[in-house]
Amino acid sequence: MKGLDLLGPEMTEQPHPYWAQLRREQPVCWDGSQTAWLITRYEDVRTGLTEPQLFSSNRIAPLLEKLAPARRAKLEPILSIMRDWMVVTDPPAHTRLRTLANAAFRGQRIAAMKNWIAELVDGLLDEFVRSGNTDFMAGVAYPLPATVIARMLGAPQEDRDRFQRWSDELALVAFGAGGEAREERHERALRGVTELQEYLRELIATLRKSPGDDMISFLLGQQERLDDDELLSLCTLILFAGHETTTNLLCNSLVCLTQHPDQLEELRADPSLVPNAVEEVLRYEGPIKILVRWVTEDVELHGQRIRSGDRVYLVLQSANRDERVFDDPETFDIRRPTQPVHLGFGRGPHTCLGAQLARLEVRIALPRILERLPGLRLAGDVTWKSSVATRVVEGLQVDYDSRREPAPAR
Amino acid sequence: MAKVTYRQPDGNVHVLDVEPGTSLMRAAVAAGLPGIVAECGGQLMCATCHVHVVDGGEGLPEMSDDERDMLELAAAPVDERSRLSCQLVVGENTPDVVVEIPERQL
Repeated sequence: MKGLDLLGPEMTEQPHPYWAQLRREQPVCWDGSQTAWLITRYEDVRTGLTEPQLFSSNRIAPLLEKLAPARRAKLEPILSIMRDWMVVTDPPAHTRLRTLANAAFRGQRIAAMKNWIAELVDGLLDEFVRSGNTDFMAGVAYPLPATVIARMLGAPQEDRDRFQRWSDELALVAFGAGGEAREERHERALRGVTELQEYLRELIATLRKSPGDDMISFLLGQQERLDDDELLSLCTLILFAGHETTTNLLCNSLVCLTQHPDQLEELRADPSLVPNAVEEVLRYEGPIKILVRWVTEDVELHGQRIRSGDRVYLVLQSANRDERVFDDPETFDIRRPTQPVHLGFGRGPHTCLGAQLARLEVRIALPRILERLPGLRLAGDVTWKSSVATRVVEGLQVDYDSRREPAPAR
Repeated sequence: MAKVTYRQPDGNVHVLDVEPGTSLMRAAVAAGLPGIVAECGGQLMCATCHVHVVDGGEGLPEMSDDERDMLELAAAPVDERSRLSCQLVVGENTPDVVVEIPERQL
């Protein structure tokens, strides 16, 4: 069968037919241009996520070693910063970092943040409506998670626009941008991350002098176990991971719902469906498409021999539409039972640290968005970004019935 | 070895022999039982392995503050019998345990 370029227009606009074909005919398929095996069935993807001894996340250090000297010189500055992120480490190094991050995160008591997040959403929506802005991504989906993670880390909320920009540049490498940004992605990411680290270094110094009840202060209190570089690396990761993907989950929620207006109206009428609807968006159009692992020993899977050292792409986007697991998987259905659970947040030791926070933010935001923006619809077509690992829109222009106008006669 | 009975919301019942040192979550996932999601794999970060302990709770570890905090995020109603099954590690002398799996984990 004909392989498709994961960064090409076909796989960017409508990837699902290809995944369905791979699941059926070649569930373990070598992709020469990505130099990776594509793993597309739910059970296999879950195995890849939950067996870190066989499917290693330690992917940046080996990549650096393999590169030719000229390319290595170019990539090393940015990749060496990401090398120590817990997302690209294995146990026991991962366990140590993750245990600390878990504790810091739990210490934020996110269940107690509901009212504050609701007020934040209301404030953003007020401003969105008042300003006449129609770019939902810039007006609401970006600032919401950025403000939440800023507060959790102990950063001033007014700085959110700055680290949003740095984070965008970092995403070019972390998620494998295609298109025009691909050529210069390493330089741009390095610029972004350097500024972000400079900012965080100052923030850490400030919090060291006068600690608060934020995550950085918590981690500083445990400092016999985390050195300065590790702390900086962890904070960079949390700040980055804490808002980029949630922004995309919010946008994808609106894309799914506006493309299924009957279900949007159902949800508006019955907000008790919101948690289900959020899980369905995560399944149907989750923000993370692919997670990467390295195989640590020769393994045979569906007749293919995967060699030790080979790279595998665990295709969440495909697993979440596996007909072996989900009934009628290509149908978006906000009433779908939440179990079996999609793999949108991963599974196992590297499961998204902020999964429950992301859920909380979107569950709080969605009904408020629908209430505040009656007749919500997209203004124009959806354009997906060319990206290996993420399912992201270029922007999200929306339209809605202005409250200032008299209600149309029914 | 403790005998653990898992009651599903649809009335189905599964009984597993759980080795000391193994959590009720781990045993259920290994046996492929439905209803216990355990998205985070036992890191006490997700509250998707929520159960109601209806019998034998006295032989299980006491609830930590972290577990109490995370239970606030459980999808199904939480009551005094609620526990996160990743924290319910069977001991040498744990008596037989009966748990009910709630309708929702998310």
